[in-house]
Amino acid sequence: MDKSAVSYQGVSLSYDEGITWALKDFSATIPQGKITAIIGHTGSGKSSLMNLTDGLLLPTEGELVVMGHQLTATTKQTALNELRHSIGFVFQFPEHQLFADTVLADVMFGPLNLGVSSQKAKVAAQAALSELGISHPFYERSPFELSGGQQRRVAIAGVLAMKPKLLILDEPTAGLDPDGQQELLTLIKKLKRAGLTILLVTHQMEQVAELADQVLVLATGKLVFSGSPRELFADPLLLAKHHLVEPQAVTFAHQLTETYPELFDHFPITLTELADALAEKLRGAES
Amino acid sequence: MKTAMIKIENLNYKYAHQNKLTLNDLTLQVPAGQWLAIVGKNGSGKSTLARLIDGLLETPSKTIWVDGLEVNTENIATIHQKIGFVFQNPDNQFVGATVAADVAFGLENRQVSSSEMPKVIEQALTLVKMQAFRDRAPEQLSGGQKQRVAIAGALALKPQLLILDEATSMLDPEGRKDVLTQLAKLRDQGELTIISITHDPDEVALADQVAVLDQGKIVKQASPAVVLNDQSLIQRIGLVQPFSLMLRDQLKARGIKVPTNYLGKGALYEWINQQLATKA
Repeated sequence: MDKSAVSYQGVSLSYDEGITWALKDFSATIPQGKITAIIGHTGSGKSSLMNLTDGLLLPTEGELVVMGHQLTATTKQTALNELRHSIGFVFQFPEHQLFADTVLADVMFGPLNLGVSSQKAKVAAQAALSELGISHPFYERSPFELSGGQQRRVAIAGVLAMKPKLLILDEPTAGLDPDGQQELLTLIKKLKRAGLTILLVTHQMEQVAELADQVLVLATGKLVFSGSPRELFADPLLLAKHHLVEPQAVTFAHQLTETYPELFDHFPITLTELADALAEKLRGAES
Repeated sequence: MKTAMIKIENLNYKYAHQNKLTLNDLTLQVPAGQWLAIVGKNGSGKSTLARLIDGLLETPSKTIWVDGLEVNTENIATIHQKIGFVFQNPDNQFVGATVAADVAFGLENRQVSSSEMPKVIEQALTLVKMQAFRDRAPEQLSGGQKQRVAIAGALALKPQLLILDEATSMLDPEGRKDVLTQLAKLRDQGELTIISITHDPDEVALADQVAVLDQGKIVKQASPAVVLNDQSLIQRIGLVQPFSLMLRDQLKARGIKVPTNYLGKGALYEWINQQLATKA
């Protein structure tokens, strides 16, 4: 059994004292060291869930345990500070929050703010920048001179420099060109290998198929699915009901199984898996 | 031979504050009833070109003709009657208090009679599947829904030429497919010439021809099949390959002898099906 980084037990959240519920009776666990994708439409409760996990909001009812910290409606603000040290939250379009004169100063700001010495902050910032492929010559440049993809990486480095154990990414590839998107996906895999627990909020089903170990689907504040991407994409009714578009590889594979129901031993959900499976069959066809 | 809806000859354009030409000696024709996709990286001059066609920037004399009329101050009012222009950011073009009022705004400007108006609005909203939202305020809509309304507003005016500047970028994949299919239908009925600036390979695939802009020059003009099949070009201009070609190339990398020409999703599916059938 996986250890859980976060567990939600009957969590409900209302912004208007119980007239409407942004989140209702939500129970789930986020396994440590894995990537969990959170999907759902605007207004499904995704943002509320992220804000609760980061301790920015407290539940109206129920409790959650985040990295060993228990949070309920009556948790004191002071108790949240320590929790926030272990969580990194990369908001949508995080480059909009860049502000310092230089790239290095921007990335050092987070650790300095946590009370780390400037020497240690610099080491942490340099390590984070190098992880994101931002090299030394960029350190003294203004972040605003960089391309959009580079700015995004600097902003993420600012979060990683605080050495979080849980990383929340809200639509991390939105607005990036294909190359920039691919770079970020590679980075997310690398961070997972380094032991981080990752919560990924995304609309991109291709990313869910490629990256996620677990998927949680939210609709109008309720959990409507929890399972592996393969289980999710194998359920056309559920996908249609929640207007989720399956990855193109899944559509293509489904089409082929209409003619050849036994074609796949292991149903492919990514392009790589589809190509692997088809290549094996087609090699057989050539001989 | 159809007449040209757009004719562009030796167009050069430079913004006052820049040293470099944004558009460099562009020559291009779009026959009436055709769809031209314009692709290229950010800053390649795509949006500038679209704005010059619509006379939103000062168009150099004797460089652009729309439906036979030179784009100049004298003709611009007539030309605007022929063109529907949809920008990327729908917030900058939403003027009505509700969805229906927004579509009505353009019609009122054209002095469409009030008895005719509800029908025209209904038709346009149905085309983009927004009829159920006719009484919603813009702040109750998602970005993609506002983009649909913007497209409905442009189509309600029955333009001869529709210019889309990344106008479907905020739509989800399902919604984008819906809207593009409707536009392709209007084109196929011969009612509409379309120019679309886009990064979406599926949108490119619907066009009749594709112009690839790079640093203000057209570096390639060809059918979608030819452009999309040119992998190095596609990468250079930051387009994603269509799914069918990604799969084809992945199969090739695994030692499968695949066709080298452009294959849409349907054609690749047929080819794989055939290969599998020979095995069975």
